Amino acid sequence: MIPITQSLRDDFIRELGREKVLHTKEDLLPYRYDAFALVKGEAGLAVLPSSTHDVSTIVKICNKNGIPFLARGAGTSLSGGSIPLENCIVILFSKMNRILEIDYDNRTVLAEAGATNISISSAVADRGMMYAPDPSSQLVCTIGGNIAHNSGGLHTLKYGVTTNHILAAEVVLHDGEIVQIGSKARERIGYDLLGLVNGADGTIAVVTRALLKIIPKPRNVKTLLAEFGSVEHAGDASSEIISSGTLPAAMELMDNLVISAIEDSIHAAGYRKDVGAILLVEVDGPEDENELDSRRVIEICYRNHSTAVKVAEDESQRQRFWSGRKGAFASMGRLGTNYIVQDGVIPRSNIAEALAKIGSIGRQFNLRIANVFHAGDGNLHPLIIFNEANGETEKAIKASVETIRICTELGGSITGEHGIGIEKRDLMGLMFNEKDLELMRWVKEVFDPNMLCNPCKVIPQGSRCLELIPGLAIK
Amino acid sequence: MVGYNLKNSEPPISMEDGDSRGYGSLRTLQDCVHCGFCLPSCPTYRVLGTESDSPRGRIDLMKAYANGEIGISNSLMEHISLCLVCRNCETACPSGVRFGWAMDATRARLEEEIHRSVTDRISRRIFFSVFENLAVLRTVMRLLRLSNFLPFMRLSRLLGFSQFSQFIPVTQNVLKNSSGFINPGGRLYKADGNRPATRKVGFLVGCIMSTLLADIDHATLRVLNKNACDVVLCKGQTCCGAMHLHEGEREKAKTLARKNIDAFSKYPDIEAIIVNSSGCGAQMKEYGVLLEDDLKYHKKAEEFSSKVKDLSEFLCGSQLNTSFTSLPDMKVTYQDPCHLVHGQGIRKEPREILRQIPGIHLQEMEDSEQCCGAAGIYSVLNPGMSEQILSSRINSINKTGAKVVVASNPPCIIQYSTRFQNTGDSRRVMHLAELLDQAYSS
Ligand code: SF4
Ligand code: SF4
Repeated sequence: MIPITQSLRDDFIRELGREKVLHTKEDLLPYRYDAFALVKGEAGLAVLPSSTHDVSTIVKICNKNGIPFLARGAGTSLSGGSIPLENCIVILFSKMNRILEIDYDNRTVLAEAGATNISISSAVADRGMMYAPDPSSQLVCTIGGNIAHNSGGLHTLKYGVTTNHILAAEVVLHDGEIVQIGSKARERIGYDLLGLVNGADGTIAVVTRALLKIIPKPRNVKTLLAEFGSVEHAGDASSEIISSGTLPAAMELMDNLVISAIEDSIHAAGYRKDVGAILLVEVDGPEDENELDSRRVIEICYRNHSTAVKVAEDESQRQRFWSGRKGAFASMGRLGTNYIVQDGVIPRSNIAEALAKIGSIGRQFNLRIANVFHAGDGNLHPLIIFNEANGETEKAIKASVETIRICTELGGSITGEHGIGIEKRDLMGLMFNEKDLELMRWVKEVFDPNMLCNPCKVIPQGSRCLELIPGLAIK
Repeated sequence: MVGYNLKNSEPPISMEDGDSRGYGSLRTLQDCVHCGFCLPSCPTYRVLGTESDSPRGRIDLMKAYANGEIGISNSLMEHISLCLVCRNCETACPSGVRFGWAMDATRARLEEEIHRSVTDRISRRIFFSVFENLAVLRTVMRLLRLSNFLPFMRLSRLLGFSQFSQFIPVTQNVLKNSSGFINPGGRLYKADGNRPATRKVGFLVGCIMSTLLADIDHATLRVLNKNACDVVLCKGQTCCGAMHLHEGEREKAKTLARKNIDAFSKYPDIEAIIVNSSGCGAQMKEYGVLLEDDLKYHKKAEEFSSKVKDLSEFLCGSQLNTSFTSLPDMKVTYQDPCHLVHGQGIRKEPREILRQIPGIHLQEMEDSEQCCGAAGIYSVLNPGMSEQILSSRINSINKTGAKVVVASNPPCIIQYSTRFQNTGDSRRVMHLAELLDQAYSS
């Protein structure tokens, strides 16, 4: 680890100006976190660029001195993607949040990487357009971070994730060179370099601008809330909806524990606490198709033993249906002092089996596990409830790893949308063998030969980056 | 997710004396899960874009200070004092962190430990004491009105009060037009004869409201009388203590709270305590939190708080007297006072009332829930940041084309009227009570 010396700090100040360099202990302390709270990092220095040129200058200084660096948007990563390790320089994007161009003819928006996800949709809302990926943190999280984690959201099922909605990016390479990947042309020709930057957790290059696709907002939306006696019935219903040929815009499943927590919290949405599970389904499209879809969903739910299906009568009821789901994670405080939210994917036909197995993990570790997930694409979010004060942290981490192991055993994946970051780095072995990982290391080396770009994330690196989370490394 | 351990720094709490350093209020920091949802709501983060000037960053700093991880430094003081305590972050927080409580408690602890120069200490003491006794405050204000205010400027400069002296010309200007000060000596204002008096309420006259902005108090009394209320100006009441609490003078705030509780409890027949200043309302609704470890007063404080009602909340909750004589057509926009919307969760009521006044057209502005930068005495202590924040509000207001800004809190009123005056802007800022009063009497 190279210490940040006074002369290095002066280099930054000389090139950028004093007001763009943060260095006091108190300025830097809060950068030790993002929304993944199990690991604390430490920032060597934080810098506030206001242009791509500034970013390039910063990266050049870092490269020259062998100092690692990391781009940080709003710090809402759930996998520790924006936690600074190795005392690295944190490049803040909070001042690079402008929307530079709106092109309705080509249906694109050009934005700086620090623009919030919602700001894209807001900018084009009056023309009835939107930017489709909608992570729950969309009011806060930035486009740069969305690209790093290839983020999705509640409506991923129908509309896809970030990589499906980006046409080009301006990036700063490891040596400070500024390059443009992609263009307004919709076809990607040759090797998909843009695809490589997407979901790389910022370990390949620093994204400074992105050209995003915008689409028309659906005119007709119907939101249905179906109650079930058991999670299995709800799971079966969701599978049948998908196989019936209907493609809902969103489909969310919550189990009884989650429902009770929500209803006991400030996010109470009027869900019935005595039901086994709730399936929230949203269908959108042209009016007649919309009508047909919703009728079909209702039919399927009842065929799968739903006890009641409610249709949101107006926008405010629709918002209420969703408000509980959106507050689900935040309501976990009602069940215990701490929680870990996992993020795994299973083939959706295995939902019932996966849930049964997760239930037995809870019993094995004597921990409560609540379940909320994107039923449409099999993206599970088991919430492991524990109490740090009782020394349950390590046990909880072990249990959370077991839930992920189940996902991979069922042929799924270790992350759906939260990224690898720090959290899943040492779990990559569950999905990839040493050869696969070696190949990834090669790719990383091509772009970042000195290993300075967001160090110690994504790929297990051996001795340089030590085990960060006690109990996480798989044996 | 993994909470901090604030226990290490906890001294033995004596329940008898009360927990003067507010440890109870710090515990809410443990509920922060670092999600960052509060960031865009924060006015200082919007301007600076730095984590230490965001709610989540300040929470980390407060925890680190409480745990002894960091000590007092200029940098820490800067980040802490740059916070407006607007509590917008509380509205945004999905985990229910009560940021304002924690910040008040932190400032109280810093105030105990920080080294201040002698003049600084004296000037602070004088400034805060003036507000602790309404009779003294009225005398000072009277002197201000009579004098040419230059001696005051000199005196305050002499005391090292150069920042506070900025208040004086503003004060003077407002005072010129203000009618008689209000002395809460127990006087009863009878309900208007035309309607049967059905309710009896108490009224907090407020320190600034009863002097500098006494016109608004007079208007409020008339409005309440028009709404079938007998209003009693409960004797013995004093400043609510919000300013003291937010500036780290926690013990003084508690003393003021106890005084008010005693004063109003002498009138058991009042069904509500009406407040026309949002900052005071939020403070008084939380006396129970402030006095949570005071065995003698805790329960009384909760009872007191349950009676406190903002004027708009009270009028909306009862049958609003709508026999208005129409006002001339007027486009107004509404600024949500922070401690009304974020401190008390009141956003619908004032708008509902505005919509019922004939002639008034309410044109909503963008980000009406963002702070105007006044924040108690913040505008005097941090003029640069305050100006920047205010400018973005002015931009929003410009887009509405409104001629009147409705804001029902003294600092907001002073902040906007000063800006309008200084820039020769013909727009005005009004309290809801003033509009209602006009609509009843015109
Ligand atoms: S109280 Fe206001 S200024 Fe302070 S951190 Fe919260 S939102 Fe920001
Ligand atoms: S929104 Fe609440 S929980 Fe999230 S970071 Fe802010 S204070 Fe913490």
